[in-house]
Amino acid sequence: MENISRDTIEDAARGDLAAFEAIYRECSGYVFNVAWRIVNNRADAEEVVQEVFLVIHRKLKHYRFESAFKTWVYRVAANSAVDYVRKSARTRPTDEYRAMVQAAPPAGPSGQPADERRIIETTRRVFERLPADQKTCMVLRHIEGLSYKEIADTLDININTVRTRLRRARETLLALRHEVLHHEL
Amino acid sequence: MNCDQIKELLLTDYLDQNLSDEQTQAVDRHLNACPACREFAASVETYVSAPLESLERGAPSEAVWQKIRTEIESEQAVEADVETAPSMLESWKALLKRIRPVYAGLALVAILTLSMVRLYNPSVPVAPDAGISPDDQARQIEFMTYLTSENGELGESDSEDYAEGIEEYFLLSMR
Repeated sequence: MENISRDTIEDAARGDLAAFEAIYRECSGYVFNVAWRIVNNRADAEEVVQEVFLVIHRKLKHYRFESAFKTWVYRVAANSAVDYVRKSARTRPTDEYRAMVQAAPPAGPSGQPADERRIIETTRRVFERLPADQKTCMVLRHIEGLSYKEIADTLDININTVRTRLRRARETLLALRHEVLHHEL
Repeated sequence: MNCDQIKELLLTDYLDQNLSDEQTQAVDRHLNACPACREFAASVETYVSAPLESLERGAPSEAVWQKIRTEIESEQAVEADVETAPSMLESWKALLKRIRPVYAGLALVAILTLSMVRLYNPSVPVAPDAGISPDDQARQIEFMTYLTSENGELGESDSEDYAEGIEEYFLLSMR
């Protein structure tokens, strides 16, 4: 995303569709991945990507280069994805968690800890059920590799809030992970 | 640092490599000496850090850009129409400007018509409370007197002469 020049952004703001396509080609990948991990499925993530770039196109003429373009795009992406989840009411932790535990991958014949693939799959499903604000911090940290400061700027929150959300999300992952493994055994 | 503090760091700044070298070494020393914290650190790595970093990454399908492009082109077309089309107020102003001579002609005809009516039909009653000042009323009376006078001279009352003329007319006709 650092490859996007100021000229390209200004051209796109003036209505140059080719310039805007250049921005899309550069940013759509990480916008999609942020959205995908927050909304939990590809089709919904593509809807969020569409919404994000339409919002960016409409607001580009008001962008004043006061914050990094990358931070601004991440902010629009994260907010749009979280709004999408809230509007579609896709997070129902209690029911979803019960369904997830009951559908946990079967344990091996020996009842020993699952292999790496099953760990990844179980962690992914537990991750999907995290609260949206914690999941957003986790996505920006683990998937996109942003620093605490960058996450705080993106979400317009305090660095200590970032730290707290990450800690709670990881504690939840560990706790749910233990329950899932216990159920498997 | 006690175990709770170490576990907090293992879940945050130690895992995310935000600690200074000195702080990192302090945590490492604790882990070497504490099996429980060492096991906790291994759980964090196995069940949190490694799985999330190995999650599949993807990209949107090409159809997404086509939808965005279509939507943007549609919005741009609407904006272009709005910019080129004059506003309703401007349209009305232009229309009024074009028909201004017609208005002026109509106003002139109306003024002339009223003047003629007043001039050739002085019996048209004037409402007493029509807002006419006493001076105007006096002028109107004077004007009407002039119209009914024979020689048309203002300021003179020749009604007596007129009456005499009528008498003479009747007297002559009776003869």
